[in-house]
Amino acid sequence: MIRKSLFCIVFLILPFFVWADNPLRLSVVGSITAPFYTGAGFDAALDGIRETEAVDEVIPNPIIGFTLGSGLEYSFNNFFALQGEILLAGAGGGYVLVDNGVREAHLISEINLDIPLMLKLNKELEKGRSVYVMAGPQVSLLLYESEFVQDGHAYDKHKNSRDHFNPAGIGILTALGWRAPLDNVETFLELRYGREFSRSLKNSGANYQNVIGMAAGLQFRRKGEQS
Amino acid sequence: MKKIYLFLFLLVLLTPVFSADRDEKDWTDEYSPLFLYGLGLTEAQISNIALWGFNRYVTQADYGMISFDSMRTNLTNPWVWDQDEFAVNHMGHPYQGALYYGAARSSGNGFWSSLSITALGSVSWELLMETETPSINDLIVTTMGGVSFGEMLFRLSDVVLYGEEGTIDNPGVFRWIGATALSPMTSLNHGLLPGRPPEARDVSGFSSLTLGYSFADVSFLPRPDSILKANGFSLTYNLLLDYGSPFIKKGQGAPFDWFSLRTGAGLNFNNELFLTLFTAGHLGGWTLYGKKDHVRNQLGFYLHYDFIYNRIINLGANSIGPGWIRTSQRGKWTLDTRVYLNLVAMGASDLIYLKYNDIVNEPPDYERRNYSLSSGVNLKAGLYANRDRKTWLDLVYNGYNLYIIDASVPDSGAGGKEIIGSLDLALRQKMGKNLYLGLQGTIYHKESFYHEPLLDIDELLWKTGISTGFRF
Repeated sequence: MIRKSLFCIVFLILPFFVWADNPLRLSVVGSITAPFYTGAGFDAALDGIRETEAVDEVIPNPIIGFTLGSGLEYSFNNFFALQGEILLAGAGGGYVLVDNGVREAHLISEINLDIPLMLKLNKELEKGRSVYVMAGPQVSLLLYESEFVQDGHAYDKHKNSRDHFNPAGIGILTALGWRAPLDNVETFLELRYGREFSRSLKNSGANYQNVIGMAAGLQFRRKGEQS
Repeated sequence: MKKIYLFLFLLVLLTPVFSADRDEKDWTDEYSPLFLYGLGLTEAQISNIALWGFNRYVTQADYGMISFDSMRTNLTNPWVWDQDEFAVNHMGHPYQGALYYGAARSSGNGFWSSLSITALGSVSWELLMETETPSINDLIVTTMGGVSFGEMLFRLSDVVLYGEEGTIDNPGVFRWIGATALSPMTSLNHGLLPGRPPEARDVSGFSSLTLGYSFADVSFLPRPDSILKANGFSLTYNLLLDYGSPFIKKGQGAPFDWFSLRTGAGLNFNNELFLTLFTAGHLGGWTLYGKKDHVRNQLGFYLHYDFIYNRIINLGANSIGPGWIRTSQRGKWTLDTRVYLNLVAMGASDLIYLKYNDIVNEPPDYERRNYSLSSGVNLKAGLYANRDRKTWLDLVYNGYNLYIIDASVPDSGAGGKEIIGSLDLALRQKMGKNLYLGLQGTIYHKESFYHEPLLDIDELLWKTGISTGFRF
């Protein structure tokens, strides 16, 4: 199934590379993100924790994550482009146990390899600047996972079994961005939102990884290319 | 806490005003001040995120485990005087501030707008990027120390890259490495915004190595027998550096077009680290000419960051105040005097009771600072004489009268007053083309007058030695 999907993606993209005479542009991108889990299964899991731990409340608590990687943009014209990326991503989610005002945060931390492929719609502004939106599918591969549990000012690390996590996820990544030229590179700022359609945690019913992020990066121009 | 947020709001509100102080530079004409301010602020935040990412994902430090819940807690709880180690607060935070400042300054912003970016970088770090409660002392030290360090490193980075005349067009790889080590964000912006004219001035001073002997003594006051003595050989590297000319006319020049830096690093007392740093950076002032020829006076305002770190006496002081610099010539003698009277916005010095309790009996299992936080006044006076540029004599005293902030007193500590000072005497004689031999002596003293139950205490450390080095 995965092989077929990859073949279809390559088959669909390849003609655009062959037909177009515009250059490829390489970029580096990093972001700070707020990953969190949603879904009826996750809510039910939190209710279960509240009952078993006998605490006042269990509140969802987005953790703070990151993405860091590089991208490749292929412009069909000034309006349309296709952008693929390969990103190391700190994702996951969390919750807080509240009992008599004492808070105990649980940070479920995943390190993933994210590979999004997005269609980019670009609107040019004055001074070589532009705004754009991007959206497309994303594959996430789980590399590493752990959980940090708050104990006062300290956080104890627990290594959860990989059996609790799905090793791969399929979702969508969207972005709203602004790009401005500097001397010989383009800078960009983006607001990103990603959501997985497959379940992240295996034994928690319907639960989905969500990530909101603020990204910044540099896109390198082809030699001799003007902004 | 409301005052902090009001301060933050005013910074953002005044951004366009701050941004207007950007020096006129053709290279940035195509970018608006707001764009450059945004670029500097973004880079400062990227440095924050990089540091947090290292803490959170590489070292997995407790204070890096941030989440929405920790941010909510920090935003709604009052700011505190934090309990972090001396080196973290008074070396680490100024350097962190220098990264913010370097990002802002090298992306085309002037001194004052870079200062506001540094403050915003510190506020966002305190509120959002660590689980620890935001601290007032961190904000002051990161901002004031960061501006001092940042501007000096930014300018020295340009001197290393382009030379004192700023005329080196194609710097070699070693110049790039040196400049990047001094100010990484400046090198990043050389790539993003090439063509910035170098901010380089003449740099002069001494570089020397001193081999000598050190002695330390701690007594209760009034001084009975010593309660702690230590001595041993010491090896110290000293750098005395002046950047630019201190005589800057009103309305001409920019902040830190002149600065002075006196630093020393070495080992003594069985390989213990010994560090000192005294800086003064010109913010603005007036050049006055004397009635006689070859006499010049400068009245101005100066920003200082001072630091002493050794086994007995530690000091961190961020201060600002007026200063008077005078140079005169008589025959073959040149005489420079420098006098500064400052307000110490944030001072810090060890509580030796807690410091030695932590060493001997181990610190408590909760985080507890072993030094006091204070404010007060500072007098710095220096006399620098040379005869025909062959014989040099320096006599410098730095004194600090610090009042411990009662609200900041750590567990088992006490409020009170601390008088700290250092007296330096150095004599150098030219022996060869550019080789100098000399004698050097330094006395550090600290008298602490604590509230009950702690007893008053006197700390003294001196070191003396033979030095050799060169003038540049």
